[in-house]
Amino acid sequence: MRKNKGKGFLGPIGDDLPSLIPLIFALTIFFYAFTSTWNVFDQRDTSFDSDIAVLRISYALKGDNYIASDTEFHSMCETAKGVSGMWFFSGLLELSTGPESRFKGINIDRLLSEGQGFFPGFLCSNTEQKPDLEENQTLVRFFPIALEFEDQSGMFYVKPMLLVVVAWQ
Amino acid sequence: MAIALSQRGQAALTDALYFLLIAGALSTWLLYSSATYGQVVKTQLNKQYWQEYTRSALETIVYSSTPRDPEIPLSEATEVDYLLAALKEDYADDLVLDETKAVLFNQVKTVMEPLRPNFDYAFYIYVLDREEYAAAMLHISETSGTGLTGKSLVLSCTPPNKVVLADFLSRVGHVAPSSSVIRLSQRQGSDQLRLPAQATLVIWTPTATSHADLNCQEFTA
Repeated sequence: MRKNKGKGFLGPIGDDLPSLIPLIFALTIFFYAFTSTWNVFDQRDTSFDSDIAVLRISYALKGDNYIASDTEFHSMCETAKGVSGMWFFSGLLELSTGPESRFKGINIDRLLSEGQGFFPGFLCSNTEQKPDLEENQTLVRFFPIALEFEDQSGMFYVKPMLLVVVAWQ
Repeated sequence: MAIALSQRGQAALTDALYFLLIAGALSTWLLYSSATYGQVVKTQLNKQYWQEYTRSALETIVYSSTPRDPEIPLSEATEVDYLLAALKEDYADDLVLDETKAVLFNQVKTVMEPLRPNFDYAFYIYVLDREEYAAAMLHISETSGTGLTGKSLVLSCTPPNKVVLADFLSRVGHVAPSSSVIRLSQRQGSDQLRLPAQATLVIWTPTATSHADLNCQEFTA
């Protein structure tokens, strides 16, 4: 009888070994899913914060979609600088005024290199740094706005322009 | 009732398998939640952005200057006016936008150029009292069986009524519209009769949708 009682007994751990395998496997997949979900939630929340921040910067810069002067633009620029959480670089691009001056698109590389392509006198940024386009995730938002403009002959007219905001963290 | 010693290992294994099942279900739910988390917020943010874009575009179009003489380029003009003022003046004469229609459509094309070729759009001015369109234009991207061809058409349309245009817009998918009330007028002797109108700009991602009911002709200017 004594002999039969100990038959198949592998010890306190050894006896539970088959059940430990699914247990450990279950814990592994649960914690993997948990950390992965946590990371996704965190990334998406950061992405939403960035989206909202860049929209707030854009709204501050464009105001009522009519810019009467560079003084007004720079005043709105100061408001935009008050939005925290993002670095940004923005300016105005000229939209085409006829078939001979077609809009050439938004070239971020070119715009970021000292604001080339932007309309002179209408640049706004809250940093001297420029983003590394390979490392920093950049957000670009653009809106048409009307700019009151005085030409060399002293004549006023209102031109359609494109406000481009490049933002990064 | 005591469990036989030979069956104790099996009970532990079954418990572990139940635990695995529960953990698996929870993990699946977590992964599903993470995949769908924030989709509604993302969609709403995008929608808000494009709606704001159309609002800005609409205001920019009507604020922009136009030469008093439509034949002269803006840069060479000696006399300019707001486009909206020119439209009102043109419409008041004979209740038709004849002289300024091309200027208006070109201005819309200019302002909407940054969205090409990713979006199609419609711009129209609807005169409420007269229940007619003073102007309606459509930018349509050409599609083939495999997708966009890269070519697009600008059309000048005269929809017979509001329903036809609304039906067309309901078929193009998700749209981002923006409207603004403007006041046109009609000259009656020395008086002017005010005619409230609605200027609307709508954008959507290109789809192959028939616009045959809208009475469109290609606009070239």
